[in-house]
Amino acid sequence: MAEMHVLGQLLGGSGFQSNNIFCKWGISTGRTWELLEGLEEGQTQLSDAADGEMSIWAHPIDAHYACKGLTGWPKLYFQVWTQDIHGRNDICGYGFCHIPTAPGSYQIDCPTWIPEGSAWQRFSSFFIGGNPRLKVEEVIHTPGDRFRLHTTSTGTVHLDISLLMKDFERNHVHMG
Amino acid sequence: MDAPSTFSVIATGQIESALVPDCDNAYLKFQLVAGEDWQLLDGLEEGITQAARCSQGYDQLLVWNFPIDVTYKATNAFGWPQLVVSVYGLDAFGRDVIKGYGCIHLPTCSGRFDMKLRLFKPKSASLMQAFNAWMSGMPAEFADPRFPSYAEGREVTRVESGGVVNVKLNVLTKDMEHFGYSTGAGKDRRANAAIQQL
Repeated sequence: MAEMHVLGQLLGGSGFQSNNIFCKWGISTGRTWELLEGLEEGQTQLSDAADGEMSIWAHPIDAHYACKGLTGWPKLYFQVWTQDIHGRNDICGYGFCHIPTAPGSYQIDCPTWIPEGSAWQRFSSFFIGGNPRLKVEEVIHTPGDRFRLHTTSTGTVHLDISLLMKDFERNHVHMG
Repeated sequence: MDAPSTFSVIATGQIESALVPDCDNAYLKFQLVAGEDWQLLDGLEEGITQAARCSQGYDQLLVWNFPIDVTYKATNAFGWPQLVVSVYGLDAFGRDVIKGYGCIHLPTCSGRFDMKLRLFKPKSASLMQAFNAWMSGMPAEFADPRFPSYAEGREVTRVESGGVVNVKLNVLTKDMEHFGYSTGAGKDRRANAAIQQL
């Protein structure tokens, strides 16, 4: 049985509608993967930054998986939220990226999107805030029917991920 | 020869310098935090650098050149060591004021690495608290200096970002292949993996 260690950190976010942001993240896997140690979801600190700078979360990720089959390769998905001066939380980005399939260290920039409301919703959210949110969060990372969803691009989530894989080569998996 | 029962990771390098906004005189405290299956064989797991002042020129870098030389032995890659740093500035009255915390995992494969730890510091809960902090020279600090290496409990912290610490590390690993680990050493993934934004 092969094992994989996903290490690294959710470094931060940039380019969002506000600089005061936090991120709720999770790792989603198929049925053949089992989490042995570590956390597979969490929420980062709320971080503020100067204009043009990245808001730093530096949230450590350390997950140890056992793999019985290659399907359902782990994906990291994110929801980036902003908090305004009144303490209200508002969604400002959904995104996901696959964990790479070869061991090593990676710097990954993950672009994000939010659902776009109707013209009236956009007009009122300019004045009183409140972006539309997804009702079903699996849409972020599953290839379902997104046809009727209209979205707007928002900022980027920056990750530093290192991968260690154990016994994949003994099971004749070529990782490159 | 017996099959090895542990693998080792050796990291040698230095905490080279830092660029911290509005700070020209500071020192750094660092700690290495690792999981339960890790044991430090050699080297110091924590330390304090000297107090450095910025150069007069354009660069504004605080240079410490503080050596890090550690050897770890482990049976499980979970809990891979993290380097946690706290940068303390010295204000005009000579008081130690926290300027930022940073954290990064040690590299997972052998090679030479130029790492940048981005810093963040806790925000005061109110304007009054921020003013008191400025007057007394005691802004909010984390009670546990290892806090930046924890994943739990982060959702209740509010921080502001700013500053960067440059760390250069050379890493060697021993017996990881005997354990069946592939680390990706020798393949430069960083250049290929960043998704270009148009």
